[in-house]
Amino acid sequence: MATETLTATSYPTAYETSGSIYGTRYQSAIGKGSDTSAVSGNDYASGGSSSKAYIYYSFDFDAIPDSATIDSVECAVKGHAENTSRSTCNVQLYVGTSTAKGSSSKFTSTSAQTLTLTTGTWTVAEVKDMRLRFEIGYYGGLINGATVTVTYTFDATKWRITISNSTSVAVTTSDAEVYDGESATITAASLDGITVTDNGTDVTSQFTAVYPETSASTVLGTYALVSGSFNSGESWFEGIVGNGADTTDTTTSNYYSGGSGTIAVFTYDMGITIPSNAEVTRLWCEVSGHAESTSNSNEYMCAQLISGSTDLTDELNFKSVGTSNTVQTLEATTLPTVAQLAAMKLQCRLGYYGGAINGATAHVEYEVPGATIDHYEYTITNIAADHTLVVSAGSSGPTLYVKQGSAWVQVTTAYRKVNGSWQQVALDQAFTSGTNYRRAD
Amino acid sequence: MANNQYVNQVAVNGTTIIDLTADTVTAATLAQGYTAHDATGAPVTGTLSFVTYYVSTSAPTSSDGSDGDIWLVTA
Repeated sequence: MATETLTATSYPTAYETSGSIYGTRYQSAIGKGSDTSAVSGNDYASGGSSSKAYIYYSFDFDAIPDSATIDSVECAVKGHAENTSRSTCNVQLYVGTSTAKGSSSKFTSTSAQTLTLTTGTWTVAEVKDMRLRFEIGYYGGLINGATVTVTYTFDATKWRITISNSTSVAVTTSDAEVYDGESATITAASLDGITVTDNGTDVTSQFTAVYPETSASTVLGTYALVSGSFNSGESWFEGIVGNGADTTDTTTSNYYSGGSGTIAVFTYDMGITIPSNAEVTRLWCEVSGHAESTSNSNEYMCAQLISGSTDLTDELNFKSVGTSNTVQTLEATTLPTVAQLAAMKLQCRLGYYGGAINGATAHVEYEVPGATIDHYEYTITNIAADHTLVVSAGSSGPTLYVKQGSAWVQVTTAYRKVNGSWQQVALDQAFTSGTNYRRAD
Repeated sequence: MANNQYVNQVAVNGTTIIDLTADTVTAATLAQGYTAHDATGAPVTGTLSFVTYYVSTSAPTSSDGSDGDIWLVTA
């Protein structure tokens, strides 16, 4: 294990308030804890005549790895009170807006002073939700700024993804911290003209295009008895809202059956709404349940997806599966239309010997003709070694080389200065014919 | 005898010591602001302009270069 100890520092980045506040100067009090020039002693904010108000300043510590251990939190706050004897002018660190950390400190001077807060112990999640609470009464005060420094230790072997991006293509990780055996995904708005290498191997072709919302699922909805009656009452079936992975809701000794010589038919709503122009490419349903008997001729504990009078899947009788809870998959034999999918139901038939349904989850995959690509994804499946993802101008796009000494060196980015500002330009737009160029000394 | 405004050739005792007649410099091929004499002996002031480009391994800062300049970042 390779551990590293690092520090992260943040100043207030935003604020939220609670209660009525007089004065607005606090809204821009986002300086550092060492600031002395931002606020004069005449500036202050105060609460109501008989009520206190609170200003919660937040910080940005998102870069701290989730696996880190917080060693210390230090907070320096600079501010002043409106009145040395009458002001309520207290500061304290909080997690969110309800959990206090450390102790409250009070500004006791009408001139700017720096308070060093006691901070207590913190977790990473708490640090990322840190607030500096400023409590003010009828006589209040003001905060010039604050500095919070967090020292943390983490296992560097779990911090594996490095991205080097020399293009203007937006690339992000879905999870910047990746653990052994897990995967990471990077997204890009476009792959046009870029090459992505993973530890030196070109993986550009391994990116897959992702379209907006191409799958959906649902679990059991409203129950309805369609025909027949139950031998043991129906209330238990009415309450089933589990998903298809549930195998714990019902014990194998817990089963229900239809009336003598009859079959009870009941349904659960499982409608799924997808775009009106979508085309369903796959539909399946995971159903968890068991049969009361595997041999009795009156054993029916059947499940089937239907829509109106159309059977979307074959009917499964748990009699053929067993008396222990299992999860079975119903695969669609008829792909529904959008309207049929919205009206889809799980139909159950229960014989004199029955069983139980624990829950069900229906899944649908679909395509939307003409949909534009939302982003591309690349999943790292081998996390046994650190990964360095390099996104650069690729062979499929324009390339530009300059000769350095005796070697040609590839240009990754080009800029042009316009009205005093450097603006990035495409490599094939950097130079134009009819213009003379001279390399700077 | 024509009174040529410019001199492009000088001979002393039959020996040519200055001869501009084969020179190819023109205003368009001479860097802007520089001066010379063309094949006729007429003075020319260069009008050829350049855009400066820089090559670096890092991005430019606001104080670098002038409007119109190009900055290339290499790997």
